[in-house]
Formats: sequence, C-alpha cells, structure tokens
Amino acid sequence: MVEIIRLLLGWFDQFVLIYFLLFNSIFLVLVVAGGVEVIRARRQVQPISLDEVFAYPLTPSISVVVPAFNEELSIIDSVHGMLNLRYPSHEVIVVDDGSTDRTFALMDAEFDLEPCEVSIDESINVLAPILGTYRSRVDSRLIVVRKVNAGTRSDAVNAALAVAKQPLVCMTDADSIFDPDALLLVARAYLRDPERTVGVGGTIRAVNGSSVTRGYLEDAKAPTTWTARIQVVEYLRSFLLGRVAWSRMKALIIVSGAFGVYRRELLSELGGLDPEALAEDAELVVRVHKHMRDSGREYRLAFLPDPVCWTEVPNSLKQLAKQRRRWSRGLAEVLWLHRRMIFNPRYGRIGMLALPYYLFFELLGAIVEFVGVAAVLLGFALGLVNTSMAIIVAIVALLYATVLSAVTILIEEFSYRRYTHPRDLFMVAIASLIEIFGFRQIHAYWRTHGLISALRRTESTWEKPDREGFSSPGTAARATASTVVLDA
Amino acid sequence: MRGSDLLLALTLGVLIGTLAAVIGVTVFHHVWTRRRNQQEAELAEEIRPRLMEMLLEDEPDLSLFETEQGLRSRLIDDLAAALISKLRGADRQRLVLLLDRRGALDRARRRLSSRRPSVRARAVQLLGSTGAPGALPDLVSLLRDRNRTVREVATRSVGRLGDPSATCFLLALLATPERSVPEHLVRMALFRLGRPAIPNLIRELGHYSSDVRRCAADVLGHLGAAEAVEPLTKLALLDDDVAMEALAAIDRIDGPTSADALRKLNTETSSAELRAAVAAALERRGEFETPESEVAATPVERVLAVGNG
Repeated sequence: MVEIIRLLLGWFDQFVLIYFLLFNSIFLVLVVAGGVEVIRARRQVQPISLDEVFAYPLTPSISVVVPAFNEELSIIDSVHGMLNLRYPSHEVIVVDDGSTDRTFALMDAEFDLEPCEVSIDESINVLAPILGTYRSRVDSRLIVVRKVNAGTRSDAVNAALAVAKQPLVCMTDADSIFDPDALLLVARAYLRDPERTVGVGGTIRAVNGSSVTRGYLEDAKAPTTWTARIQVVEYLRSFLLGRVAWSRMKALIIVSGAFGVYRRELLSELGGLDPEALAEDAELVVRVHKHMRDSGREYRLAFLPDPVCWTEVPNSLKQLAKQRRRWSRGLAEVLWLHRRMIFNPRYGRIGMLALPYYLFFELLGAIVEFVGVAAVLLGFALGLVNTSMAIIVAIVALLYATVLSAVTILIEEFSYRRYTHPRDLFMVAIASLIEIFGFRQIHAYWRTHGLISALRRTESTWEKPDREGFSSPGTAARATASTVVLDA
Repeated sequence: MRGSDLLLALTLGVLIGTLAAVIGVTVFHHVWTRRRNQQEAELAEEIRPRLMEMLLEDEPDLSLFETEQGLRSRLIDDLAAALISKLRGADRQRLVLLLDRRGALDRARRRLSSRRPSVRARAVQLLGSTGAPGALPDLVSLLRDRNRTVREVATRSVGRLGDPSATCFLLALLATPERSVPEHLVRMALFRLGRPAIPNLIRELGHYSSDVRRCAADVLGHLGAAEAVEPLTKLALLDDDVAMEALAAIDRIDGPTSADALRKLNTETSSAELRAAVAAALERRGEFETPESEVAATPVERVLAVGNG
C-alpha cells in the first residue's frame, strides 16, 4: 500500500514540477514579449500628437460611466477627476446604485443636481428600476442616475449605458482616477484604426500610497502596506505585460472593468453587460469576440499600456481574499458560459489559445498549486519524500518565479519608471519575494475556494470591498479639495 | 554525482545567475538613468535661456551654438525642435535657421533613406515640424513607405509643411482599396493645410474615387469654405454616393449662400432621405416647420434631430 502511495506521489510530484515549469515558462515568454512591445511602443514616434487628437473636430465623444455604491469617501474626488480629464468632448454618468450612505447627498451638495429627462436605450438589459436622472447645474456634462440596487455592479453599469449617448463608452469605478491624458490616448487608438477598433483597455495601477488632489494624481508612490505592495508586482506582471502580450497576439480576453472603452453601438447590440456575471468585464470581452466572429466582422480589441487608471487595491488580506475568490469564481463562470468556444477553431486564437490557457493555468493552476503543496506535506508526514531533493526542487521552482518577478520590475524600470523614488523600487522588489514565498500559496487557496463555490453554485452577490478612499472620512464629508495621502 | 543532481545544480546556478544579472541591470539602470536625467535637466536649464535670448536679439550670433558637442549638441537640437512646434513667424524661422546651420536638417534628409523605420520616422517628423524648404517631394515619396508608422508620420508632416499643393497627394491615399494610412490622419493633415487648400479641395470633388470626394467635401465643410457651396450643391444633387456628406458640409458652412443652397436642395432633390436631412438642417436654422406627417416618415436620424431640437 505504501509503495502504491509512494508511486502515485512520485508521479504527482513530477506532474506538478513539469506543470509549474511550463506555467512559469509561458508566463516568462508573455512578460518578455509584453516588455519588448512596451519598450518599443515607448520609443516609437507617434504619428498623431495628443494636442492634435484634442483639436481634431472628428475625435469621438466619450461617455464615462461610473457605478457607485456607498462611495462617499471617494466619489467627489473621483467625479472631479473624471470631469477634469483633458478631452474635447466627454460626459460623466454616475450611477448611484442604491447607496445607503451619503454618496448622492455629497454629489448633490457639490454639483447642484436637478432632475432631468433623458431617453433610455431599451436594448440595454437593466434589471432594477431606475428611480430618477439628474443633471448638474455646475457642470452640465455630469449626469447622475439613481437606481435600486440589484446586487451586481454590471446592473449599475448597464443603467449608465442605457443613458449614455456618445459613440464611445468608458467604463470605470468610483474608486479610480485616470491620468489626465488617458482618454486622449484611447481616442488616438480609435482614430488610427476607426473601422476595426471596437474596444480598448488601459493599464490599471495601484493608487494606494500616492498623493491625490481633487481627483488628480500628484505623485506616484508605492503603497505603504505589504498586501498592496504585492499587488503592485502582480498588476505589473499580469495586468500590464501579460495583457500587452495577449493583445499583440490578438487574443486578449480580459479588459479590466476599471478601464475599458467600447463602441456604444456594439454594447447596444450585445444588450450591455451580463447582469448576473461576477466577472462581467471578462465576460463582455469574450462575448464581443464571439459576437464579432459569429457575424464574420473584422474587428480589433486592443490593450494600451500608456493610458493609466489608478485604482484603490485592497489593503488587508481579508479584503484581498474576498476579491480573489470573486475573480476565481467569475473566471470559472465565464469559461463555463462560453465552454463551446474552448478548443473551437471557429474562434481562432481566442478558442485555441487564450481560453485554454485561462482554463488550464489561470483557473485550474490554483488547484494544482494547492494540491501540490498538500501532497508534499502528506509525503513528509508519511516519510515518503526525499527531504533534500524536495527542498532543491522547491527552491528551483520558487527561484524561477522570482526571476519572473525580477524581469517584470526590470521592464518597468526600462519603460515607464512610474516609481522614481529608489525606496519605492526597493519595496516593490521585496514585495515580489514575499509574493512568491507565502502569498502565492495563500492566493492558491483563495482561488481554489472561489472555484469550489462556482462548482457548488452557491448564491453569489457582488460585495463591495471596504474602501479607504482618496481622503480621510472627515475630508470626504466636507468634500474639500485638500491633498491627502492614501492609506498613510 | 548523479545526472539528475547535476541537472538540478546547473538549473539552480543558471537561475541564481539570471536573478543576480536582472537585479544588477535594474539597479545600474535606475542609478544611471537618474544621473543622466539630472545631467540633462541641468544642461537644459542652461541652454533654454540661451535659446530664448537668441530669439529676442535683433541680430543673434547663431555660431555660438555651432561648436557644441555630444550631449549638449543633441539637447540643443531637441530643445529647438520642441520649441518650433510652439512658435510662429520670425521666431520659428530663426530656430529653423539654427537647426539648418547646425546641419540637423541635412542630417534628417540623409536619414530619410535609413534602413531603420524609427530613424526614418524621426527624420520625417523633424522635416515636417520645421517646414523645411523643398522637403515636400521627399515626404510625399514616404507616404508610400513600407513601414506603417513612417507612412503615418509622413502624412502628418506633409500637413505640417502647409503647402496646399500637397492636397492631391494626401487625398490620393484614400483612392486605393487597401488603405495604407487611416482616413482620420489624412483629414488631420488636410485641416492642417487649412484654407489655402480650398481651391485644390474643390477640384478634388470631381475625383473618380467616392472616398476622395467624400473626404474633400467633409474637410471643405469643416473649413467653412463659402466658395465651395456651389460645387457642393451640385455634388449633393448629382452624386448619390456623396450626397449626404455634401449636404452635411453645406450645413456646416455659415452664411446666406449655404442657406440658399439648402433651400435649393429642398426643392430640387428627388431623394426622400436627402430632403428629410435638408429639412432638419433648415429647421436647425429656424427656417422650416416640419409637418407632423413628414416627421413620422423620416429616418431615425431625422426623428432624433427633431427630438433634440
């Protein structure tokens, strides 16, 4: 019996080792390919300057869509930031999604809202009733929609989409702020390929620790908590370089809900976001691919590394665990919903490359990692593991992952250098080590938990994470414009 | 030592070596870049006021800038090129002269035939931003470059030269089925040529390609070219492919001539779609009361226009 277990454990150990070498190798290729692309794009001469995009009379107008549920800490700064973006023609639509705090009252006090009539696009699927629409007397570009909370972020976004009138729609969150030229950079991508471009995603970075004034990022700094610092490395690796590489391969299937710009016409055709999806951003992108390929239309869904959306990431492990369980469950639901696309040559690189990768490495990887650690511990308990060999193999696997993180930081250093303070770079480097030795294993547990809840089909609702906001509660309550430092 | 142990030890060595190299390069680059940026900032602080003084002097001594070498020399070129796009008139000409005397424009002309697309694109950009005399034929030839970025930068630069004779070359980019340059870039370049290009744009309204006619009509409308109202009216009446764009262009042009043209179109066109759009345009000008029965029969655009009004 012991011999059989020894044999099985041996095989499993080999499988886990090969799996992780393969996973890290694929990711290393993605990171390096993304890095080369980012550095190339940074050095390329731009055929259209941002001033020209601004002055051009045919630059498409944009509706910026901001769902807000109990966002009293950040909503005023965030809306000011959105309204102050450098762009020739944009409107901001905030959806107060049944907030129980002073989100609406603060907006009313700051922007002097009055009821207004707007036409509603009936093709967009909105579950909960819309209670009223308001326009600001201070800045007519601001529209506020009040609605009953349906328990999902996507329903709030859909309510805004139903009201949006501009040809492009930018989806974001109330705890996010953009670089001032972010919309111009996106519009430039549309102008360079207007016939085919249906969606564009931008980079997400952690705002925690940075100085923000009236929705404007004054100075980018690394976060002050280790939980947030670890996410800086993750965001660089997966949300920047990984997505640049997938976009280059024309196989991008995730555009973050905090910064995605789409053609409104296309969203109307699709009926908006799936109101029941937990990972509504990824679900939308996969549905766009399906819709465009099924209808035989040429299209382009791109990821741009330059325009940056700074968003508040969870500062505590508890909040992070909630978020990662939700992401894992959401991914499982998306892959299940679109299972017919996986390994289906009709969907090209999406069906044959991107979706299988997300299934085998992003979704099931958590289980392999989690079970792998458990198997090693079991082996130790039964005395079946060669200790020195196990330690060496573990060191090799972890070192490989460390090299991957180090290359990510190197590429950031060669391209954007957002963190100019040497201390920040050092802290991010240390965080990348903590990520590999400890965080990654806990992360695998959270992801496995999310996957199990998807399999059990327990009831799911979107839980808003606790925010610290761009300012202290007292500052937000007064809705002042003082400079503050997040999570300091 | 067994083979597998050797392999593991080797792997370990390679990984540790790679990690050390990556960390080393990152630290070195960070320190080096900080120093270089600091050095450049200090030099720029020194050079910028000298450039500004040169612009203020009646008879500046340009030779003062000709003997500089290395980083200082490159910074002078960069700062002068960056200033050029912000200046007009005599100041701009003086900076162009400075770059010419320093040999920057000749270098750029030579680099137009470089094998590296990034070098060609930078050269095209400099020649376009300086409006270098005699650069048009070179830049026009690069409108058909094999590299997309070079083609696009050349399109923009041709517009920046401000020579109206470039109109036909720019519009010709839209005449081929395979679009080598995005249409918006061509329009931007045409806008940049501005009003001097109006006669050439009017001539292009007779081009065999409907895409060219459509673009020319649109640009004329945005330029507010009153002299184009008559040919645009003819186009709206006779050219079904471009009728709506011609009407939109007339609508954008202010003044009595365009109002007369709209009234003429309203009575002479046989197209129901065009007549509905004309009615909407006249209504926006407060000249037309649409009967209820007609509103119901018009296309979506018409209904929306009435609703917004």
